[in-house]
Amino acid sequence: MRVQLEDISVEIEETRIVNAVTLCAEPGTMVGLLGPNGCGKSTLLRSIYRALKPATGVALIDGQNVWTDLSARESAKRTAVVAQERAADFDFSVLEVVAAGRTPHKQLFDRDNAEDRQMIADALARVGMHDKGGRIFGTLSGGEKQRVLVARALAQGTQVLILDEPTNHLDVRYQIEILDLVHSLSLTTITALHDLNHAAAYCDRVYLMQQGQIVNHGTAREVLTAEQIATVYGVCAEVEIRPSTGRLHIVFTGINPVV
Amino acid sequence: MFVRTQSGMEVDLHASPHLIKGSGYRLFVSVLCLLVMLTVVVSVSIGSVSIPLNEVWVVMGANVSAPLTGSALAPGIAPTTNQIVWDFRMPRTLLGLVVGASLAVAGVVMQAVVRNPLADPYILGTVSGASVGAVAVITLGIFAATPSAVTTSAFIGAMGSLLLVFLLGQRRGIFSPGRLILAGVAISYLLSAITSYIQLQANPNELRAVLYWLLGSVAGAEWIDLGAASAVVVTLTLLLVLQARPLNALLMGEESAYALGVDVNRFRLLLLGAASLLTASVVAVSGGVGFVGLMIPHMVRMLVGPDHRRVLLTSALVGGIFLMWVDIFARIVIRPAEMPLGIITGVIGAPFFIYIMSRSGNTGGGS
Repeated sequence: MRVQLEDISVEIEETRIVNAVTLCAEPGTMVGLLGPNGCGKSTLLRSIYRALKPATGVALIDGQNVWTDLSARESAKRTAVVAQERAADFDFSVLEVVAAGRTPHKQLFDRDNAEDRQMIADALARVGMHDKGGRIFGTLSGGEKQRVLVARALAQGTQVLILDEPTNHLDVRYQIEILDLVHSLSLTTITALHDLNHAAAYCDRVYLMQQGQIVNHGTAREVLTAEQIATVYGVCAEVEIRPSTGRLHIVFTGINPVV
Repeated sequence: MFVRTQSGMEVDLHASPHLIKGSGYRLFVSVLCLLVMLTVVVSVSIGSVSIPLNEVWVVMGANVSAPLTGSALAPGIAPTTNQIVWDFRMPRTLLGLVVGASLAVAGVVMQAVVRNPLADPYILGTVSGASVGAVAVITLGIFAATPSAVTTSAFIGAMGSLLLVFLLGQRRGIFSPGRLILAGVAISYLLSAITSYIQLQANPNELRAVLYWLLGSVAGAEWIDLGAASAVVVTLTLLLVLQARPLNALLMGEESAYALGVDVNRFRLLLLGAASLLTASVVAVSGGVGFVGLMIPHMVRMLVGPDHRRVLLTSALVGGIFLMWVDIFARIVIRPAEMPLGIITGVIGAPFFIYIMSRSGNTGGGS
């Protein structure tokens, strides 16, 4: 499924957080949303999964407007989300969290059927948590929690996946594990990312945001230049292509004194 | 129960960290249903006059089958026994069941909506509003202070305070839990001040009646109160049970709820409306029985986990059983006088509350 955002602006308490953003994620590709803290990445993502209604503009999934053509439930059958949230006050088990992924597919009187159970089991196995279904979600490590939330998204059976900084609070190994996992799913993925090297390694296209606007987009090589990083993040960086991997590699050398 | 995955792994879908897991849940619910029936019979037999259990059965059977047999009075049963069992103790027992069940269900829902384990059904000012209504009728003598006048006035007070809290708690049609709680606290303080002022005008007899009302009692129950309250409770509980999946999503967090296709604002309004109506209808007939709505949901989650497909029904049963036993104690601890229910639930509830706080290690800020 293709995700298109056209001219989206979002306001919170009459302050414009996202300003006229246009973005396109082709089916099966991974799009990275980059930019400094507070630039509006999460807010933009929330307008796609119907948590925050945009003041202007449209968000389309396969040509259907998520806010007018689709109900909340229909939208959730197409788009799954791994948001930044750590719910630990109530002792849900891993299985209960993953099973919640079936919510948009169930009517009032429906019970879990064989298809639901298969989806839940497959999702758990896919993220390597098949033997931890009986653990309490809140007692898992950060990396395990994140994998369970990805499993919930898989159980949701959607073609679009939205992630809001999925590598936050994770050590390097878990960061790579989770991004490898997400990349291997071949869903239409839009993810906010902090780590520019991760963006360069995993994303087919990146969009760079600053103060609510997209300032540049394209492949990581086109967008993540030393000049662009200096103006948007205010950091000096050396950008090179590593001969051994052929990948873009960014090394930060200090604060940009101009910004 | 094992499910084979596409990759050939066996995944146990009954794995559970909760005390009651898998098929044990059905057994547990069956036991609770038996306990409900047993408690009803015991409750009817105990009081200032003890009635043997076998007579209780006979009287109950005769009254239930009265429309068929044409006589409610079983042979060999004194008319006074029949009256005690069927006209006094039966409605009060069943009212205890209904009050306990609905406060527990309302507590479950409130805790899910505000995602705070320390929330209870009264956080939105229901009981303060009901108190103003009840106390006004008992002391000011505007109307004759008949039980039904007190009930009606308490219900109007509860709905009035809820309306105020909802008006103050929304902003451009969006209901945020934090705002609602603050509005509830503010309105509760205001209404308590009014209640206290009215009490200053009361004579000692009225004060005693007020005190009993504020602490809650099902002693004066009549069949007619029971009909209205139980109709509301049964309907709303069923409605809420059908919403168990979205309730789970909401308890996992607001972003989760959006991500799982829950129309969060509308759903919260539905839940708050249902929980408030549940609370208002039982507070109006029984007064402010405290702690049940806080305690029972926690106790139940400790047993069956937080999945609302289990928590709602179990809470209703456990809440009902608990309050019937509280009412039994209320009748016997200072016989022949009766203890208000709120004192007993408080004595059990406060230590429990402290235990929850020390166990959770935080004050339940909801993050």
